[in-house]
Amino acid sequence: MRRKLVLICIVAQVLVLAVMAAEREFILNAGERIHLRTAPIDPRDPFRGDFVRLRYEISRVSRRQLQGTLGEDEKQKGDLVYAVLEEGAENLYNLDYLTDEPPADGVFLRGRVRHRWRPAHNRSAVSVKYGIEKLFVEQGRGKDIERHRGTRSGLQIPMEVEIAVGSDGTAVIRGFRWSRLGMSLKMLRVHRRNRNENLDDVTEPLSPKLEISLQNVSGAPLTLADTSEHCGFHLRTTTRVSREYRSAYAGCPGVGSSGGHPIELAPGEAYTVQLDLSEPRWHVSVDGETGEIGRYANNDSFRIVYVAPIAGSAAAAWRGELPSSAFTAYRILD
Amino acid sequence: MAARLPILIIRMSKHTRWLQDQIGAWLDEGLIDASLAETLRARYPTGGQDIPWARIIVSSVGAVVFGLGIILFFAYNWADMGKFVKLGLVFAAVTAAHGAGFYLSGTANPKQGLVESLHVLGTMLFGAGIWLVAQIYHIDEHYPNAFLVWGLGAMALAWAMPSVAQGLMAVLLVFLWACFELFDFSLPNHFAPWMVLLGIVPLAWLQRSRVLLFFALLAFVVLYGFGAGRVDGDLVLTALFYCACLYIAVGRLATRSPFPESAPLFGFIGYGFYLALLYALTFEEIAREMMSLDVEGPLQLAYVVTPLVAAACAWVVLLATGAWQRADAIRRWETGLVILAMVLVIVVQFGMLWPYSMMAAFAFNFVFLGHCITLIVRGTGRLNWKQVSFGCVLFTALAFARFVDLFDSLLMRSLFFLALGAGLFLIGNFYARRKKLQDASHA
Repeated sequence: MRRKLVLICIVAQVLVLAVMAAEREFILNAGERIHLRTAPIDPRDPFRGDFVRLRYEISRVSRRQLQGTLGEDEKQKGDLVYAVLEEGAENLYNLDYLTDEPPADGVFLRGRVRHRWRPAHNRSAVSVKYGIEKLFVEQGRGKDIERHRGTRSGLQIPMEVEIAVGSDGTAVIRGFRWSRLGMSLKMLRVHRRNRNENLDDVTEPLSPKLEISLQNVSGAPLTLADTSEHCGFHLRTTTRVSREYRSAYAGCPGVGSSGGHPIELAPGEAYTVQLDLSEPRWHVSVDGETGEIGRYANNDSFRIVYVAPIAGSAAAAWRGELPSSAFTAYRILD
Repeated sequence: MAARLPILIIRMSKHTRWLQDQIGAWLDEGLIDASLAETLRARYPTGGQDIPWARIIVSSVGAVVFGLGIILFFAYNWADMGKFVKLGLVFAAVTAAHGAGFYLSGTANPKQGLVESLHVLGTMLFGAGIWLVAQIYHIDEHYPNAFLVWGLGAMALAWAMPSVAQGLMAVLLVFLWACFELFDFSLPNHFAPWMVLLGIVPLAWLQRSRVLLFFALLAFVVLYGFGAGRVDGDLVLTALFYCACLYIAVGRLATRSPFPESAPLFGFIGYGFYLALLYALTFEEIAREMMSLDVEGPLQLAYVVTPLVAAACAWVVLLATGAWQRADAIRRWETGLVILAMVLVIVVQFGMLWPYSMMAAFAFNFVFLGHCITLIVRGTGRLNWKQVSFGCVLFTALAFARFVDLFDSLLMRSLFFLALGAGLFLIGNFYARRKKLQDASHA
């Protein structure tokens, strides 16, 4: 009898491991395959070796993208939520909305609230963990990935993680690829505010002047597009911002519309533009007022997102969206 | 007399072991012949089962270290090794270690140490497997759950075999599970202490394992304190105080149980926590905090009432079974002090002395002083220098605490030090004289 019990315990231990592996293997083989864009950093786990910590664009969800009872009800740390995704260009998926009710169909990821969420306390975004935030790699390789990804002051190449998604929203990492296009951001000019400064008395520009380079980091030619007004570039707030900023400039057509002139980039070649955010092209409307961001946004953070205007249908044309590092009116954040 | 039983048993066991060694030496030196040696050995048996603890412990530690080596080996995460090769190795390693242990345990003369260490290795590899499957599939879920699953695997085998080494692993893993939940995720863990108390303590008792029992009892009380602290930080002192009183009573009961060797363990942990908490209560601020404790929610109430009821029941059983009648005067005094302290904590905690916190602290000071005197008197009476020293240390700690509270004048402070020093000197002198008298009477 005792030997039977011992045998049952041993079999149970092996079964636990087998179920863990089989569940993930099934999702890897049968689940829907999508890509999510990330920004990796690289620490080490004492039990599992080196890993690359992955922060997805869907890891922080702004208040505007909440559905179900998430907008009104408190959620405790660890509560289940579902990120419903929509397919974008280059098989990259973007967040449509976050809900606490399991979606009936479509592609969605099951996640858990990372910190207690209290809508009444005016926090700007819900932080969500999907269980795919670590990519385990051979010891030493994490640094290589980090180097390839780039630095705050230099060229940054987004990592695009391939995910297999189960029918219940469980996600399993399959692998990753690098974006064909990298971006670097520099601040050519900033205005540092004094604490007691009256902005109406300041004559110099309050907003930064940026230099942005788009570099073809693939091994093949790439076609971008832009207009003389740089309508391929858009100013967007990050999820940390609770106020709504809207572009006050009417001279550009809608996002992704046609009208740009093509820009051919050979492998390694870059397209560089200078964007002066104090100019009317970049003025915003916020809280009923209109002006440059340096006037209203002391700590609010933004990104410049490149969305190519459609210029022809060449196979080499790049169709995705590429966000820059986040920045405030006076410094780069990541 | 009954209270001294466990100490006597331990001493007898030590003496018998010494005698057995001497019999071997006498036999080697030709002082006695083989038949006389056999007769003497039969007359003074060492008692208990002849379990090769040293070999089991060393082999188990070796298995744990070996398992850790395997975890770190796989943690390198060889990029050239396919995931099915890695999975195959994990499953093969777990199956081979457990399988070999299982096979050996079925042979005619199984080597217990080897069987035990192979199963320990198997469970280590099971834990390694959990992490490695997570590594292979990049799983980044709530990682303390891995310790829980690993601990449950060890606990199941600890009962099935039964195995003290697996039990120790289970205690450690459940402890780690609760600590990571609490300190890394700020999540309350109300199950962990009960898993240890109900899942491991009975096993330790049945196996008569002092080591396992010690760690399980310690883990229970610490985890219980963590759980109480997570619900309400002010609950910790009260909850642990009742746990300590419970341990002291159970320790006394254990002296007349089939496992009397467990009594000193309950006593050591129980008195350790009891005296430390009682000392804390001698400070008025802490006594006042206890007075203002609001025990309202069901969880708060459960954390306080459960050990209180258990401790009260244990003390009632102890007294109802004649402990008071069997005890000598000093033991009665000590018993009375513990019961008085417990009643005082109940009175203070439920606000019956509100707002007289100074009065409460004053009462706790007297109880603590009573314990100091008890230890010193009993130590000098039995010529036990450890008890005398411990009593003096506690007395000095109490005196220093009150010295800071009560005296401002330098003259009073100097007089206080003189009185304290003289008191300790007198105790030392009295002890030395009694020791000398005893040595002379033995000579």
